[in-house]
Amino acid sequence: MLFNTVLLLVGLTAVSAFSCGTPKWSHTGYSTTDGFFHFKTTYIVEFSLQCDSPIRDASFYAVINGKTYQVAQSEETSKFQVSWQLEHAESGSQTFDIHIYDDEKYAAYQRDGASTQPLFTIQHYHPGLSYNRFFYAESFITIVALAVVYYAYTLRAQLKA
Amino acid sequence: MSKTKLSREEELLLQGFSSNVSKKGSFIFYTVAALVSATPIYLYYGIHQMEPTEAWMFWLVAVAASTFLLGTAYSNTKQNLKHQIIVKRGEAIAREVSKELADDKKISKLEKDERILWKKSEVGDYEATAFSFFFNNAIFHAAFLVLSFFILASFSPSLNCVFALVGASGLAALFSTSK
Repeated sequence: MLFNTVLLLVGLTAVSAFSCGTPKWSHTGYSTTDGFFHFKTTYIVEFSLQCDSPIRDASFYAVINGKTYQVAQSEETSKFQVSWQLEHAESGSQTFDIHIYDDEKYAAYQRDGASTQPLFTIQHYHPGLSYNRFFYAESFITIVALAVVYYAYTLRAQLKA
Repeated sequence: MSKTKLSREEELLLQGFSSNVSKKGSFIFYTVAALVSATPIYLYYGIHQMEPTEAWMFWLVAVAASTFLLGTAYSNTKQNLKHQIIVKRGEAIAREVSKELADDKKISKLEKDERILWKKSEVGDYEATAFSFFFNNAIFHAAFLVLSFFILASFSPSLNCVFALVGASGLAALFSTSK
């Protein structure tokens, strides 16, 4: 009896795992770029998705640099969103590959690892962080360049004298 | 009897002592100008992350305009300074050449004077060219830094590229026209 119940539940789970056929998606992304006032760097990527079959109560997962995040869905807009945080030291200028998996593909990913093809991959470009530095390199170099211009003018005046 | 046609010797003399830029000189100026104008493009590729496949047109226009203006600046500065350098260095060059030719008894005074003149022209040409590069590159780079990092900092990378390069080389060309 117990065995039959478990078998039925497994069967139901297999049937209810969502698989998105022919996905069509578009995305936007945002990440914080201030390394002085914020404690950590936050990344948010939002995407809309259309599959062959209607997406109802489906779960999607995002794998970013080997870490898995649950994708949330907005009830109002039906858009999906994944967000994560990293330390500033790990948030230099880079492009993140966000691999999106549906239920079925995620199960395969858990079994087979990174060799599983994701449903699709979103690329989010993070430009890096700016800090409220005491000393800015471009200001220093500009001052040096202007000093060189002054020296060049002095030389020219000496030649013309 | 007036001479209407210059002899080959007179033509060579005019060429050597003229402040005008020769074809070889122009080629050198515009080649260096192209290299100097192209160098800041790496800033837009590496820092502003402009995609080469989309931005190549802006880069080409900016570099071409900047090359023309910077080459003109080099040429103007050299022309303006050559004679002044000859006047300043003339005495020292004459002394040096006279010292070299002092032991040569076969050389006539006329030839000695001619050699001194050629040497003055050669040194004047070389120094005027070198100073022109130094002077105009200093103005170009300082103006580019001020324009790109401060005045045009909030502009899009494409506009920043075009206006900073053309503005900086235009400023160098403008200053080169002053006597």
